[in-house]
Amino acid sequence: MQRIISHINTNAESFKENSLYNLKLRDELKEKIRKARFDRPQRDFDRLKRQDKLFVRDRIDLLLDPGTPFLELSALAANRSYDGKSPSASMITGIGIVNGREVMIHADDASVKGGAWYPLSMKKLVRMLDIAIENQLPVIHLCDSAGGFLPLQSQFFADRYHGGRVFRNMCQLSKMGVPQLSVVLGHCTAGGAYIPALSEYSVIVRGTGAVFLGGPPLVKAATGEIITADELGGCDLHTQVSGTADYPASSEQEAIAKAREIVAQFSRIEKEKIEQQAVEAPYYDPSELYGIVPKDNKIQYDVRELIARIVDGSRFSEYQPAYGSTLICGFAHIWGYKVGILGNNGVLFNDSSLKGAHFMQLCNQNKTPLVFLQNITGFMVGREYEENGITKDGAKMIMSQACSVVPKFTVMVGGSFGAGNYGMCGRGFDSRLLFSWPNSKISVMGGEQAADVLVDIKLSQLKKEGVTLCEEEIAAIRKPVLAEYENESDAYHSTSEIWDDGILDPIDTRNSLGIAISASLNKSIEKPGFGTFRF
Amino acid sequence: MAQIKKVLIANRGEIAVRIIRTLKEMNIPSVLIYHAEDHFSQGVREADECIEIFGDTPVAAYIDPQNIINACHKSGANAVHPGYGFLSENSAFVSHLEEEEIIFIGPSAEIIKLMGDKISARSFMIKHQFPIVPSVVEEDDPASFAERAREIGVPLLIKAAAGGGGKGMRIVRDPAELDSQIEQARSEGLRYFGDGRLFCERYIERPRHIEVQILADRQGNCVHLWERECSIQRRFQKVIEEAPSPTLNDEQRKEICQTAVDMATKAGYSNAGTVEFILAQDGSFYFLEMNTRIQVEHPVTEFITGMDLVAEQIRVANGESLSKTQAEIQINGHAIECRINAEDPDQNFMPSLGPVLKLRAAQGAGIRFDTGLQEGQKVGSAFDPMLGKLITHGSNRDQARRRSLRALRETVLMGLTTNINFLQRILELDAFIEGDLHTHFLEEFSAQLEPDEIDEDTLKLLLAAAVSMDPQQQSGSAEIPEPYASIGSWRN
Amino acid sequence: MRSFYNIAGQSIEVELLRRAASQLLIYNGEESTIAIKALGDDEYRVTVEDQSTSLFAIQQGDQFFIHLNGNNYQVDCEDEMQSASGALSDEDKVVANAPMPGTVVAVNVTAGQTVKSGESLMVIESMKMETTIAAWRDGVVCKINFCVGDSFDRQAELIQLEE
Repeated sequence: MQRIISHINTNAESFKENSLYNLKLRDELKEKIRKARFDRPQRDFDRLKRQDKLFVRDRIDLLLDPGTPFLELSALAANRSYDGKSPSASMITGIGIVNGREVMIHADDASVKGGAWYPLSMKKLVRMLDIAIENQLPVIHLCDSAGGFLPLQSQFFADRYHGGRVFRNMCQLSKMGVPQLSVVLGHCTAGGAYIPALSEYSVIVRGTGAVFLGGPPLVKAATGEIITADELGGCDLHTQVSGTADYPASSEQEAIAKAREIVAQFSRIEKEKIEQQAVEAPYYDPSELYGIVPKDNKIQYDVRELIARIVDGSRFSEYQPAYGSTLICGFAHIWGYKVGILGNNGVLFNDSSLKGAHFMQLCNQNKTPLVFLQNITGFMVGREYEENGITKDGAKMIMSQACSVVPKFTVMVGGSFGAGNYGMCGRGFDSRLLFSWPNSKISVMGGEQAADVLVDIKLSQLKKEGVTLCEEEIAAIRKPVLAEYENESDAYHSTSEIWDDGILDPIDTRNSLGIAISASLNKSIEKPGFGTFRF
Repeated sequence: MAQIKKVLIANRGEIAVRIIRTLKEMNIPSVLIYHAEDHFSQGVREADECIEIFGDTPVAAYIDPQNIINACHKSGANAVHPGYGFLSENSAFVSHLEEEEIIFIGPSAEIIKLMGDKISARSFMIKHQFPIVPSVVEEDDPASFAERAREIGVPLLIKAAAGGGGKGMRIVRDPAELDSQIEQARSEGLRYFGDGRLFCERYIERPRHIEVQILADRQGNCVHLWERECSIQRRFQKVIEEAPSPTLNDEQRKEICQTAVDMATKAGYSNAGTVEFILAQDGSFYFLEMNTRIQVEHPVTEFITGMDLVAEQIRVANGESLSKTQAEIQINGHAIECRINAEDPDQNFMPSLGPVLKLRAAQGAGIRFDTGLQEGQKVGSAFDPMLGKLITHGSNRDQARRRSLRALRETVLMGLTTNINFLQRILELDAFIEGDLHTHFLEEFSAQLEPDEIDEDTLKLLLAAAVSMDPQQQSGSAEIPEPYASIGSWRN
Repeated sequence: MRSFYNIAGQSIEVELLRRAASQLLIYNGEESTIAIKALGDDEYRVTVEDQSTSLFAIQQGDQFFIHLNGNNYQVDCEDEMQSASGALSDEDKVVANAPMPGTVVAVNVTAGQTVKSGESLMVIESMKMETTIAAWRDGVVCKINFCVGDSFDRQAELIQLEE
């Protein structure tokens, strides 16, 4: 496979400016993540220590095989909600290796509000289980949560994707034959009690672990019975009397060691075989990505320069190199896995849409996972393009993408606007994992355009009322609209709302995709099939 | 007198092998008794004939005189070499053999009896005006024992009359503790030797342990084979012995060796024996005890004199005269013996056990490794923890010392914890190099004898070797799937 | 998989990882490339990064004996479960296990007797050395498993205190 010839001049002024800008974004990201992970008042750490509990990060380090990676998902979930009181939505989720098995991990973070679940925690939990279902990943729950955050119960209890979905998903996973293991390190109250109860295996720590439908305060209120948490649902009760939990442990360390031993007994799933070859590091330095991605996302650049810094050996077999040149398609390898890559080099035209639709069908035919590098302002608009059927050609691309049976992965590397988001496998289209870069923007249309549209509507309304505005007055209307739009299209807003599975430092893209692809192959790939294409 | 035709070895371990080798060189057939515990030992492999013996415990089998006499009758052996320990200093056993007309390769029963009892030995030495540490004997007047002991003045050493090997010994520095220490020594004496009689002597600070090897024939020739210094001890057990002593000058050496010869002559001694002395810091020396047998540390004497002590013992027992006169016995160079024990010096010398998984002796000029161990043999708790002795000879003390160090490093003995590294550390101490020894040397330098921290490079090598061989790790490591293994400990 | 190797009283967490053709030792958060080549007769050539040394090594049960540069080392292995559950405090301990094989010389207590921490329960002898088994906490003797003269193996349960 041919190596991409890079045309980047690392000495160019623009490269240096871009680097400065993107490295600043990178540093901001790292700092936000650091804060979400570790920024807690000392008294919270002291409380954990008093309770003989480990900090959730240390639990995960103990659980994972040393020297192996952990792909954390949605580390900045809820970063724009609840006044920042629910860092990472009060839980860690991610994919890692436990005793050689690829597993999904969910760990409650009891260092904030006793690990209480906020609405976005519930969303993150449901998403985590969706990922487990889609990729047939065993799940390890490190349970330590006070339960749902009651003041916000209306936002997490009753709806389809609220609390009930967690348990529904757990049951589905079990039905698929994918085991789950709960390690009860703190309280599992009310709904939370079903997490260990619905798991195939469970371990509970004597003294600190407890499982009950109603905690001691509720029991007292309901029946007047005064009882301690340990008597009500502690380790000995559940491992000796009720049989709700399987293995007792005298410390968190022992519980986690036991969990590792249990995972070692899981049968390994025969993974789906796709084309694979020996791994080769990218020929071009991935840290050059910082200099390539423009400071201003209105500036178009060649997505092949990104591909060259993500894929094995910077090698890329481009499909239809002379046709539909605003959509770059081709084959490459990531961590040895063969993938089909689609990346935007401009607005989608009829030819680029048709090229994309056909390329995705090829990938389905030869079992090649798809990677979308999304930097798209949308499909071309205008009379000429409508005449040429841009909408039905776009529909073909969307149909081809939506019906793909191979695993899909999306990285928001720039803009994601309008129907382009659909064609390039946005959140609605079940990418196995979807990541954003810190510079990325997402909205139904570009911020400027949206502000213009909104201002136009306002002006025509006023005009009917006979009011005309001067420049300053128009600007005064436009400015807040634009600001709110900018804010809501920001990657941090997306990730806060769990519209993605996390923001990546661009140089982490290759490893993240490598793990994502590996995980996806736990599920076998069905025979391809599509809906009807409008010709 | 009957000629020795066949020798039965009433012992085990390295000394059995040692004796068999000399017998082979003298063309005398050997018979070795063994308990089932020793079935796979080297002695059993090397002896011409082996007879299994039985007993309530393995040790009991070896110290049952009837077992030995029966074995002699069965094999036709007409002589017994007792080695050291077990029945080697049991006068009743020797008398028993005499009744059965079996030659005992050692001194007469009377001398064994005289020297075997500390009190009678001491009285004998006093009677003949040999130097003795000021002391009092309980038996002389039990009621005034403590009072008489107090008169000698502290520090005092209380000993069991029948004691040996450090059992039943107590040092008293505070007169107030005298009574309680007397009782403890008595109970230990009773427990270990079935004899609660005690005596008490002046305790000499920083004493050296010097002993003189004696050989005497029945023709009235008595020679010394110079001295050995055995000051490196722990719990009164010798650890490193050397010959000659690094501290004696020629005059002192001659005096102490001649004193030993005079003592043996006075006692009418025959065969090999050792007179043990305490040498005080001021150069005065006192009789300690006489061992009427071959000693563990005899090889250092063999190295510097070129004589075979076991062969001389057999000659004497056979009624022959000694092979050399005193004038012919010269000191050639220096020899050091290190006792390799199954023990953990870092865990208060706790005995260790286990199979000998690997045994590879050091090679080269001036190196002798005496052991009865075989690879695959299991070292149990039935016997003494001594696994073997590494003896080296050099033209001077430093060469012998360096050779010992090299040989210890090259000795591969795996499967159980040994004191080999500890011995190396002793040999590397400045005070040892300077020869500034005394019997509490190991206690004095205990801090410096602690093992060094293992450096990082060594630790990595050890861990690398261990993980590479650990089947759990080998199967476990294969389990980390790609690309996780290659990505390593990355976090996003 | 995670193992704990005990060397000279120090418990070290290690892990072996394979990456492509090489083996990596992970210890102390550091990775080192290692290689081992058998030279026969229990001798090996071990390479850590660029440093290469010959040594003798033998495995016996959970122990490795290693002879390296004239020094003898013992590496005791524990897997993570043993390591996590092994740390029972004396207060919780119910039974005294024999530190080494040997025979019972004296039994100083009877079942049902109340004992104080440090009190001698039993004297055992191994390789001519006597060791006292002392009460590790205050308690009541509930079971004595051996009589004077009995012999036992390493780790044998000698005597039990009530929980």
